[in-house]
Amino acid sequence: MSEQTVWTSDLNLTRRGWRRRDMLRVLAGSALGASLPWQTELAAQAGSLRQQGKSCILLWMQGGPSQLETFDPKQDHANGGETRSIATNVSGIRISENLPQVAQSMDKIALLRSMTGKEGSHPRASYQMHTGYIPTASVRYPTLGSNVVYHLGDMEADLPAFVRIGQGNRGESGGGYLGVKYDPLVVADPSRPPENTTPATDERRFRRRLNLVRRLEANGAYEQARADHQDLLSRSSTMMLSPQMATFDLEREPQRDRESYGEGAFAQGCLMARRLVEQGVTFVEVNLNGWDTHDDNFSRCRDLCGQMDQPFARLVNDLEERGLLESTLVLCLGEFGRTPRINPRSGRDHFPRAFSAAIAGCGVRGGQVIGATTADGNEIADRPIQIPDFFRTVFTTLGVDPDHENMSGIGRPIPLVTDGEVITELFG
Amino acid sequence: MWRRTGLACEQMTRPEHRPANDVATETRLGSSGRFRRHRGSFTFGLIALFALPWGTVLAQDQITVATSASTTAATSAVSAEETALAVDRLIADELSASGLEANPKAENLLWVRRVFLDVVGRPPTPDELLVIQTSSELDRSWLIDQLLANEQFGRNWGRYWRDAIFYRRTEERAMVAALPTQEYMATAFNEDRSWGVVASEMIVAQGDASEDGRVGLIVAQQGRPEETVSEISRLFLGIQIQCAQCHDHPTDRWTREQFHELAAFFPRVSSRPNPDPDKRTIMVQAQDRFIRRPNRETMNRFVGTAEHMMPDLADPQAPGTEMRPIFFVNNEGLPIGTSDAERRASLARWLTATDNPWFAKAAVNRVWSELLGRSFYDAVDDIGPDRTPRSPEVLQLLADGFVANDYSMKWLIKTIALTDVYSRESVEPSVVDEGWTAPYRVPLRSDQIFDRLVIALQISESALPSQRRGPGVSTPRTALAQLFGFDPSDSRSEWSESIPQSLFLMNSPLVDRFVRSDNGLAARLANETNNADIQIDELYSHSLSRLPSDEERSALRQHLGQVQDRREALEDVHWSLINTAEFLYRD
Repeated sequence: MSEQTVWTSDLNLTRRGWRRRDMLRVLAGSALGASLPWQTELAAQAGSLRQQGKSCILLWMQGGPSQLETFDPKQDHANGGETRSIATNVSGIRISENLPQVAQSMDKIALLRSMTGKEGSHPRASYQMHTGYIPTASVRYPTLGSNVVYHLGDMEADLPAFVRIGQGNRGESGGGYLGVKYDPLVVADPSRPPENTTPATDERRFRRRLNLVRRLEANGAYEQARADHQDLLSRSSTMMLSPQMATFDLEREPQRDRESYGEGAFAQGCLMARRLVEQGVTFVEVNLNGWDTHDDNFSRCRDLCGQMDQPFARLVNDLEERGLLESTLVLCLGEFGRTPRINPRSGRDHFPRAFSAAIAGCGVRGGQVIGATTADGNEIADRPIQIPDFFRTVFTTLGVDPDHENMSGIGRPIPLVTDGEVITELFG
Repeated sequence: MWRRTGLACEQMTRPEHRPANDVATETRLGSSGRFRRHRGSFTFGLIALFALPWGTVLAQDQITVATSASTTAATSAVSAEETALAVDRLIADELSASGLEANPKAENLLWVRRVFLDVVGRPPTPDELLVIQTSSELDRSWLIDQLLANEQFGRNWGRYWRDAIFYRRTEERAMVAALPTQEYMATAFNEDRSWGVVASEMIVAQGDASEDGRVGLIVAQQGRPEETVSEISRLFLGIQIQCAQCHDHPTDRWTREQFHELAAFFPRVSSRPNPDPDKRTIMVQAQDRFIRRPNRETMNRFVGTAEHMMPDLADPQAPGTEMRPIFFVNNEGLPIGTSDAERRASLARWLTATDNPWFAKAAVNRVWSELLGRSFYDAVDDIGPDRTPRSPEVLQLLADGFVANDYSMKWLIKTIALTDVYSRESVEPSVVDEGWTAPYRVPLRSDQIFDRLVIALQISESALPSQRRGPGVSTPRTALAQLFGFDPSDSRSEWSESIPQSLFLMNSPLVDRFVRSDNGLAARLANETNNADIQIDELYSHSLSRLPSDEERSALRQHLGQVQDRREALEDVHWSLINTAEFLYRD
């Protein structure tokens, strides 16, 4: 049993699942009951209730984004290549010219330029940057979203607490030893509803079928399994038929707002992330794949930054305009950085030794840079940030105790983070 | 209640022959497009059962299953039947000592469903059920032998071990070895190769991972000595020695030195992606000549090292301490400088030796757990001298028999399936363990669910689309595994169904397409008979491999009465049965 920490009391306040649930029971009678006229209103209320809790959006740059073409350009050194730097709206902070819109939102974003790790292969480093641990045969660690949702998510809400948008990063990134309950709902393509959430038949027939299952499971052996299964069917179908599923439908967004995020799947993903967080979803991961620029690094990074710049900047501003930024942590990073040395194919190779991450919201003081690399980019010059430091910071910011221990399958207690220090400057 | 299906046989006509090689798991049974009422499924099904490869030894008109003699002669030192009886006596004594009573006996057909799912990885088809149900008496030992003689047995357990190995992989590319490993295991199980030989082959293996499944375990751990020996110890001995990797084991006797002495059997092995882009694979190689000491942090172990070094905890950059290969169970060791071949052969020999108690116990514990739903220890892969098993005498008895039968997995599975406790009505996974009063109800593995869908929906698996993806091939079966797969070493008492899983069964195009197809079961039933009972029986026996209870039947009859369109109503029933919790369990 872990100690009662200051965080737990916080959690009781932010996990309002029971309150919401009670309300639904009273008003709707049964989750499978017929559609109610005031259901939409209810859903809206539920959403606003959940907004009080903290959320996190992880913008995952799969492949290892080049720090030199994004947040840590080296214009004055040969290693910087052709990438120029530009001023931002915070004096003294310059970032890559590839990110003009992010530059104009720099006051809301903090940069970590001294991230350092050891894993140089995509799967191992992706795993580590999702779980805080390197892969091992003996324990399947939960991914960041699962850990956060385990502590903060309202598992009884209509919408899933953890949504992952876009393809690319798969592997072991799920609930791990926490169980499938904490796996993400995957939205492969943000322009379509999530897989298998649309009834194969019309709603009347779908309900008829569900009723038939309920009758078949009303009696018999294995009472617990029948009850659990009925509960699950009820939650799944409530989600499917919930008016909140419209959150996934970007067509519902006013055209101007939709356009403000720009074009492309990543832009749509960021918009969907905001819509989900607004409805109380706790953790959304949005993937942008393709950062493995072993050749033609500069033009590929220009293109990738073009896909990322506007949506990232807009997301941060949009959250702020809606009063959500103070409760939503936005992270933007990949599994490692890229070599300062430019290879003969104008590419950059894997480089875990010194790379960057961007972080905003949830009390993080924007407009600052933490850590630095040397002029050639080869070494950390100041304030190395180890991977556990980063994870400890993320959990702490979200109000989750990083020393909380879970039991692994073989009964070994495993803390959310082993070692590491909180990056306190972020909040100064 | 089975008499109802008997009714369906009254107007039996002489069935035509089916070619024997036409029978596979995949649904052929019952996919002929017509229904038993018209065809006389009694004899029909009988031929289907005997037309399976196992049936070739039997004359086709031989009807009485019960009187057929066991086809595998009991030449072993201890027969499965005798050992099962000895287990029964031990458990009966234990239960009476603690004042417990065994659960009621499961009815024959429940036991049959159970043994099919456990041995061949799928439920019985409606025709197979019919044969068994209409025989006057069920010879359980005979039926188990038939199932063990079918190649689906090896495939089922090959898939189990593929998952046990590859759910712990430390990189994605290792999946190139998954199918070869499954096939290697399948062949070994079907040939009843000694489990000691299988373990040895996997320990000494080298070669191309896309062709030789024996290297699978090494490839899954990228050939890293620490990770590879951890897995060898966990899977073959049930001992989690890797906890001693960084510090002496907190709850076990193993020291950090002993862990690194075990790793010292593997320093010369490497697991390296093939440089040829036209052939994506991983090569496991070993060498005994080393020119330079490679970087210890080499990510993919392109080359091995001459000796294993135990890192210095105080100074991780230091070269560390050179370790001799010593096997922690018997303390036998080899000198520094020993060749790779001799290192790994020695480890294989000592690990599988009959005087190593943990090798047999780990296998017994694992198979028992798979069939009974709970292992002798708290975990299938965390046993050893510092853990206390439930019913140590039963475990010892089975381990002794397993040794006496040259580590025969077929013997072990048959013995456990013949025990009295296995024949009882199962209890829910969450029930607190008090004694062996009953088996536990087990959530099915992803492949078992897929094969259940294949039978329920009469899917021809080979006709489904597949595409190359990453290091493997993506098929509906692998897509299902993404949703329903789990590490079979994990305790299943904590398993729970997830929302994406239920969404798949409710709404996926795969299920919907087959439920509502013009050639689907519901459509054909609606076309070919007006008899609601036959329609209900057929849907039940395809979907859940049983017939409905009276309550279920009346609920369904009521449903059929309420919905105007019979085909639509039958589709609803089919969908509903696939969406019951029962569909996901082995009862």
